[in-house]
Amino acid sequence: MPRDIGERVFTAGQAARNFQRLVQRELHCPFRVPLGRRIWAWRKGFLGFSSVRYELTPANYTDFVSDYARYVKTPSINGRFGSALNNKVVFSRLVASYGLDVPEYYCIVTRGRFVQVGDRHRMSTPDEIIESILGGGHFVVKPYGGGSGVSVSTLNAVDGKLHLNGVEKTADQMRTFLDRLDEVVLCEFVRQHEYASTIFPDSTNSIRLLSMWDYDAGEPFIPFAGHRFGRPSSAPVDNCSQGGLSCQVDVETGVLGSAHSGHMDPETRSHTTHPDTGAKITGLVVPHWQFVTSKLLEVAKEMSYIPYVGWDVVVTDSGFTVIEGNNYPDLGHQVYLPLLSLPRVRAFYQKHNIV
Amino acid sequence: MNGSFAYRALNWAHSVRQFQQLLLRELRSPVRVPLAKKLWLWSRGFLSEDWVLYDLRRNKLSDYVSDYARFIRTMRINGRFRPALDNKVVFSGILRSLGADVPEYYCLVSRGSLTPIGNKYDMTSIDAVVDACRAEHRLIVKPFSGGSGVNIAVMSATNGKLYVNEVEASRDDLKALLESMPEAVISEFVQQHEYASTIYPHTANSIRILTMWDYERDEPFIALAAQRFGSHTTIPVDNWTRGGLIAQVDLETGVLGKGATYPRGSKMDWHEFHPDTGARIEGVLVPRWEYITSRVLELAGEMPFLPYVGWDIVVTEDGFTVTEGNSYTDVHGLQILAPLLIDPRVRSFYRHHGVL
Repeated sequence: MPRDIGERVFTAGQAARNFQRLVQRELHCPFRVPLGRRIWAWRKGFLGFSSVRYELTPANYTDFVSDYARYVKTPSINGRFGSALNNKVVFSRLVASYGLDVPEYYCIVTRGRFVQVGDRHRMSTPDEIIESILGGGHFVVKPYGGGSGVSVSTLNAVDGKLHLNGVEKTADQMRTFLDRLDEVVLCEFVRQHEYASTIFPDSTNSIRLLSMWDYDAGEPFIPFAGHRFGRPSSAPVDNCSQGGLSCQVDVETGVLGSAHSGHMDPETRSHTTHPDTGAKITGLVVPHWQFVTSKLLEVAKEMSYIPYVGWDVVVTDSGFTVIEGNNYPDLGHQVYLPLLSLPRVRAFYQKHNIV
Repeated sequence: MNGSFAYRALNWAHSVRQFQQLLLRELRSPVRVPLAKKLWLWSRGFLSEDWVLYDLRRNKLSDYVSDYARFIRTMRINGRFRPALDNKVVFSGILRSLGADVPEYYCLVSRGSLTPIGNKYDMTSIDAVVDACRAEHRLIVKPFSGGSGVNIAVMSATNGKLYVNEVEASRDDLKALLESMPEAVISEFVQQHEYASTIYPHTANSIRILTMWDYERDEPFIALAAQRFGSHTTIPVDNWTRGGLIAQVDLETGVLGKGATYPRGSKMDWHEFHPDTGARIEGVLVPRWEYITSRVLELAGEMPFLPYVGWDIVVTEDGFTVTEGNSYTDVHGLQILAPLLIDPRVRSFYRHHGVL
């Protein structure tokens, strides 16, 4: 719990910023929601958008974690450990110490300075990065402090030509792109398992697993897992907020449910196959699933000091890689599973004064 | 991102708190300095006690990093990566991933509520803590964020009796201790090398090594190293402002200089021997010093995102253990031993980060 003035102002500042984001999200709702419905939703702590997506009614809304609770209250669950999750480099080093696979980081860019990490690739200047790409390097550029997959890019070379997000670029264009970077890391591109690239090859298709602590049993549990798949509008990322698809993964079996084009549409239009590639989604079993969940639970148990994590993992040929952890993950997947309908989840949020 | 409201608010609030600490330090200082000197030092961003601490009658003020620069400006050097250092559990995890020796953490303590970390001990109750204490002989309980050795306690068990900071304690005393700690961890007690326990056996005597980044050569370097020793007033820690000693470690040879104690009047006290044990300090060689410095530089080199780290290490029989890292290390104690800015690399590092 925050003790000094600095922490208190920070917590208040973060809550204010998150509240602002909540308001912005309401203002940018992609579809019309009647005013009466919006006002009813606001009074219950939900966005008008969520009231439609979750099909909220006076009888069922108590089964859902509200948007207000998620944006304003859940950021404080991990207390002083939250900042470790807010920085991708710090979190990846932390989980690597427990034996999890993480992408290798090669370069950190802050205010125009390129700081090479490790010796694998020479990356102290934009020219060196370009040389590394032409030498066969395949990299991901992502902000080390942010979420939502915003400004994630991929850099690689095809037949000796530079590519940025799959589009050919000249060396000058690439240099201009690199020169403009700030507060990002360049890291290894994780090669996903074939099942995921068959469904949509132009994005890294990740799985979000939510882990939380069961204070009665003294162990973590995974109440929810959701798979994301990119679409042409979201490539190279798979985020629903940028047009990607999402579907539930059965936590016990690893079987995929039907996919929805998440945030863009008022109708929960469902797909059993990927709308762009036609590849089957529903019914598919995620490879290595038992290993993914048991290993994550094992590490989450060791990391008991961080009771609430939204893990983003990519399944690979040999297992899985943790690409990031989220301190107060998006709970939009409640469209599949109202979280508070699960007693253990309700007890967790109650313990942390979220509900 | 860098300019996000919450981030700016955090920096601003930290600056306010740091300024408050600076003022408190000035007000609480027992060092006597004439008013004219005080005003001169304040106007240059220094605490008045620096007149005595840095022996400014003989030394040049411009060779020293000011207290204002340390408290307010050095805090921002590690930027968004500071959380890696501000939390001991997180920093030790990062170091473990790089193969460094770090203390093992067993349990998170939050006002008496216990959450076990790792699998070695299932510390869910006071009885389990007592059992672990018996098995390990000694355990440390300390806040997982913040520095300066405040609120650190050593719990030990010998011959069926429990001790807190070497004073016999009951199970209820232990319970009260853990209930008084809002955000702490119980960790392994690091067994120090004999050279350090010979000089003072009742505290873990650590070495602070300050690393900075040389942007010309793109590699880290060690600016200064200081060995601390506890005394009867500091048990269980080695904090020099509370009565411990601080001695320079020669970076090349690992040989200790004289130990300084925090002045209580108007003059610094330098000790060739530890005042409590009579053991020699000056001239003692820190074992495996060359290995320690090269390994610390290797670790710093693996973390270029943290260009400024005050490493606290305890030398052990097998090498050394990193007990914590400090993001804006106190340069006060270090500069008693040698002014930091006489090294051009240090000066250009601080200039690079807008500290000077």
